Amino acid sequence: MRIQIEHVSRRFGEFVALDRVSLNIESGEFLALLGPSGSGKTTLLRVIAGLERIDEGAVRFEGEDITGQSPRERNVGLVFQHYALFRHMTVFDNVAFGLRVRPRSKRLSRAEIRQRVSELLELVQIGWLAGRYPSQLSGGQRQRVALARALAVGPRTLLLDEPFGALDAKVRKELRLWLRKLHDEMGLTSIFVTHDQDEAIELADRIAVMNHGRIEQIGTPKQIYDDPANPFVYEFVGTANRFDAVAQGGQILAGSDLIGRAPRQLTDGPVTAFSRPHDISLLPAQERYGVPATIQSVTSIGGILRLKLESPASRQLIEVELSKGTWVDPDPEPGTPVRLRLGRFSVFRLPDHYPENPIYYGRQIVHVQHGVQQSDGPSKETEDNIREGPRRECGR
Amino acid sequence: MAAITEASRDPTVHLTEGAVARWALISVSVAFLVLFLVLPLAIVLVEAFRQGVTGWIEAIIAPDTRAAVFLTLLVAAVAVPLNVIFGVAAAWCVAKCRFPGKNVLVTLIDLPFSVSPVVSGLIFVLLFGAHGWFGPWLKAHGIHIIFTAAGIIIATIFVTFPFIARELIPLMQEQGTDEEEAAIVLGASGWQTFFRVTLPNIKWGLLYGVLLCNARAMGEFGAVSVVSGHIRGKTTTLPLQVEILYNEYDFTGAFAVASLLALLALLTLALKVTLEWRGRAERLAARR
Repeated sequence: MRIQIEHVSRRFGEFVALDRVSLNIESGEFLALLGPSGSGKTTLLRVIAGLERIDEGAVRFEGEDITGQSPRERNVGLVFQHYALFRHMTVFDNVAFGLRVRPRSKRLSRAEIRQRVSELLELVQIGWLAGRYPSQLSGGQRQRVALARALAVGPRTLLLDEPFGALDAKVRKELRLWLRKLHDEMGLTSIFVTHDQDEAIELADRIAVMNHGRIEQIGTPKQIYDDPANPFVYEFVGTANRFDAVAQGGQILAGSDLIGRAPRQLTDGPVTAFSRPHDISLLPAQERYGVPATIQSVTSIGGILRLKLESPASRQLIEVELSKGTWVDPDPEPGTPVRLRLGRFSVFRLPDHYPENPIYYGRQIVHVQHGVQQSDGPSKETEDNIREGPRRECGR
Repeated sequence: MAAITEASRDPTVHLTEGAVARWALISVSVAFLVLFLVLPLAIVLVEAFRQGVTGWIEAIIAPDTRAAVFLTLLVAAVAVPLNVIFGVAAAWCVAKCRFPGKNVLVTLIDLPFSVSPVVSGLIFVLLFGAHGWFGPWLKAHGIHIIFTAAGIIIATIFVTFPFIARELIPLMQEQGTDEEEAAIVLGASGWQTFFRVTLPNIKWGLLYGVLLCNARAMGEFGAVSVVSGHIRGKTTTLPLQVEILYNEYDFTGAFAVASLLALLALLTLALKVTLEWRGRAERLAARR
């Protein structure tokens, strides 16, 4: 089912939870709403379910305006963050609930309900738990019950609020793959909320990155990671290094050292360059270009060298990931002066008071200018690199 | 110094008092309980049966006493269901809705607890009595509230209304609104949600509240005494009947009626313990 969100706003007193959000979800799509706490992603999900009223805008299912419809009428499947199973009912009764509360004219017979619930329990692989109570189940089992209960009513769309949030890491990975398979097999249109970028990247067809009640960028996981639309997305998805620089006569300079060519439309003035750890390579200190830096620490994990470096061009430590072999033996040592070549980077013009922590930055005031991408960089980022990108915990 | 090291070697030692202190504490508690709880209860029973079982039965089936039993049951039968409705509604909106003035409402619910029962009774005399605010109007329409069963019921409702709401508010707040929202998204109507999801989740708390509310409704003296007018056989409830009989030096009668109230108390206590136990077991099971 196609879902359209049109200029939807929701305020709680002074707090703007959703700020004129527009979003189209295509039929059969698996969409992730990704963002830090308080970014409005759960509110948006609840708006689609009808549990949250909106101050302005419209929600359409298949083109039909359903803004005024109650959650009862919308026929959506919703899996709550903590599952919200009916604690006084067995697994079977939980799943059957949506079928039993239908008006008599639309209700299936007892036998049909029994049949349908059994099928669903088999589908989510917990048929043997039908007689148990929620308190007797593990987290993963509860999630499957919540899913079966949501699917029982034949929903037009499946909405999931942090579906893996309450599970431990191993179960989480397993369920992720299983859920994706279920989505594909049943031909569902699904939307899920998460603050975990790995989860979004691995599961979703498209990701909508949210911040301060707005959608910062929407695109495939690859687009989001490789071509972030603005500094927030750059820093929220994956790790980003920031360099203070200036644009001057078609060049980007850190102090007097050349970083690279400036994009044509960029006017001269101070800018900030962003680059991912695996897009940076090391050059000898005597080289005449590149950002000067000093190695602080070196960690070697598997085939990857993780370096932290200090540079006058950056206010934070710079993180660099090198595949072994790109640096001549022996391994670089702490204290060694080097130069950094940014194989691939983006340039943004930030306002003066742009904070160090991207989670708290006010979006409205940022002037974003799209950056350079040099083609000759050693950008060999693979799926693996993306998945292993360090996770960032978000502030609460 | 040596004692301290000695004690710290065995981790259980410094957690319990010495034998003397322990026995002293236990004796004080037991003496207190005997003096203030067991002894009065025993005296009530002994006095009630001073003239034998027949005497007790005769005292109970005396017409005025039977009328008092009937009125007490009637008052409870009206006040408790009304307070169930009020209590559930109040707890629902306090626990599950957001609205301004919520704290004021919570404070108001507690009001009958903090007001002396006599004052509670007087409020209604001032409102509905012959010289009260609504007195002339009521009189003109031939409605009598003060010195009738209606007045007793109103006063009882006022005095007992916090019990159920107080019991349910924390319970419902703890449970949140997720399950209700889940039910509505699954297509349940408001009533279906209430009867199939909310009510089963609060049933033990509700029964507990009903029990306390009932005990108080049957045992209330102060507020009822003010509005009742003590018309024998008409507007006396059990506690008032005890007072009347006692003042008339009919000690056997007074204690016989009192023994009924004591019985009610014991029954309430037993049920209370059972309900608490069931409720706790279920809450633990739900959390596990």
